[in-house]
Amino acid sequence: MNAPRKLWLWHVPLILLSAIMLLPLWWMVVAAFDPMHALIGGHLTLWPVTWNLKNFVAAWRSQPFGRYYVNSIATTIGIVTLQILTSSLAAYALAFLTFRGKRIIWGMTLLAMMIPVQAIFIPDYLILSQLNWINTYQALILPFAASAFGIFWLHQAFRNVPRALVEAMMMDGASPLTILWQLILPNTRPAVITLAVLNTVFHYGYLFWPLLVTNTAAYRVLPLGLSYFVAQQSGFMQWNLMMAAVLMTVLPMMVLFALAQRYLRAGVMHYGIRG
Amino acid sequence: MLKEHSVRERTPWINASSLVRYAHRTRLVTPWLMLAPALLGLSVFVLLPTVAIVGLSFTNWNLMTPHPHWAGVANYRSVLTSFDFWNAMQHTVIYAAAVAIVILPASFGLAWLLNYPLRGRHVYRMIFFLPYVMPLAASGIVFSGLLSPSSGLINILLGHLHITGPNWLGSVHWALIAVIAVTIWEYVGFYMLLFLSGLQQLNPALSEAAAMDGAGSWPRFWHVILPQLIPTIVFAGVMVVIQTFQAFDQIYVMTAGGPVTATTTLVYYIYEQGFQFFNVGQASTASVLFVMLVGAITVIQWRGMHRWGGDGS
Repeated sequence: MNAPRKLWLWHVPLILLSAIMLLPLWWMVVAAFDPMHALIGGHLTLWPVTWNLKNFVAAWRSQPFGRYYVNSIATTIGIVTLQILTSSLAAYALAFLTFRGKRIIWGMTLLAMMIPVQAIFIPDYLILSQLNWINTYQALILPFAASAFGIFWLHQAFRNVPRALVEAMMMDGASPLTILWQLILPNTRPAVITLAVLNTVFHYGYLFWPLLVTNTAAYRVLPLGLSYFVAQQSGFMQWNLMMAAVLMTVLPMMVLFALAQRYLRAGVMHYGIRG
Repeated sequence: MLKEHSVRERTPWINASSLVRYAHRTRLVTPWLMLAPALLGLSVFVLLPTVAIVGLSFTNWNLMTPHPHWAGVANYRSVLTSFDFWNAMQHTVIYAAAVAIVILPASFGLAWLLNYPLRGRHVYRMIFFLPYVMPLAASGIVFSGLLSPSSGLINILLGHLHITGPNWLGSVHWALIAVIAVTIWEYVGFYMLLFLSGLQQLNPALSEAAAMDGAGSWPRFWHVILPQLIPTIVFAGVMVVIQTFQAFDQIYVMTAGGPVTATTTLVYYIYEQGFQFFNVGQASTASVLFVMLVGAITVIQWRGMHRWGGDGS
């Protein structure tokens, strides 16, 4: 495609749009570091009076954020690890093995993909409460240990591995696990990493499910902790403390984004349309 | 694509009989062992609850009695004639439509522009994608701050223009618009990446051939490029609808469905019926209708893709 002339003119709207996109984030940072922010009404504050960390200390003390971090990180790692494990095993079977009932299993996977958690949370909740799992890590993790979308996504990626290579390894008597580990996963890395990152972002930020299955601080995850922190502040809103709390919550995802964005681009680009 | 049973024909250079033996051994046990963990999880937490929700929709239950009571189609009658349900449905449709109408052209335009060898395009892409990694609850709180009536940045900016900004989240007219704005801000970069992937899979030879035949840039876009992008556009459109239909987190932290019921969407309605009023029957009925709606949209997607010549898979 040949580029239109005067392409550089597009920098004007692009910079403007970028500023609009970054404004909420910048405001969050300024408020989080500015000790005076809550007191300044009616003034444009795009630079803090002083950069200090007092808000972070105050926010950290007002809620057990340490515990929330542990819960969030444990839950997210648990879900993502289990999901990649169960999905890659299932996707391998569906992509490379022959067995009776394969079409039914594939149909079930597609069906499950169409059903959002937000529509079936009542029976899910009842199952967990029957098991006495309310306020446990199991309740936070196990409902998402298997994912139809994960199976579907990895199946699409696995299909791109040349079949002759898989058959050659089968001929050598390699077990499916060996083939999966030594051939399939290394060759589909962008897809696997993309799935892992998208899942991490989603489950780290997920408020709906933890809201249903936990009601004590001991098992509260960060987004839920944030919402409690907001609810605690009645009347006079200390936005500086809240933005410090938000920034603490967001930071791990920003770091992850910085580390993974190269893979993410490759992954979404190559598999985006099929996901 | 190679079918599994044609393995033998496709691999004449290897010892066919040992492959058959291998296949035989693995056919019975291995596939099921590998599928077992995923199938267990999906059965217990997705498929069984889907059956259960249909069952529960024909009962009345407040969770206090040990068992639900059979109610026939009474719940369907009362939900489908209830003001609250249609009110929530209306908010959901407005919300989904507004997000889709803004986000699809905006993200397509951004992708189109950032597909050119423009200096700094990687930085722009990163900036637009950045909000996507924010937890929705965090984005919701940041926007609540920005939109707070007296000390929020938006109303201060409007004040400089001598406009008195409304109490955004406290206003029946503006609250849903604020929720729509957060959602667009959060997801526009994600859809931009989707469209970029579509644009990069275009076949350049087709455009060149059309240009050689003297087609101008607009006819080239309309007749050559756009048809190739139809699967991506349909996919993105359906994804926006499904994503917005499920929205909950940002609504919970920003408005909790209010003021009055101005931001009560279908999912929020189900949540309130089930977990605040303990009206399991009606919540389940609304859930069934919700699944049917999402299912219908997904089917339309696949149909649409096939009709327009996409591979739909």
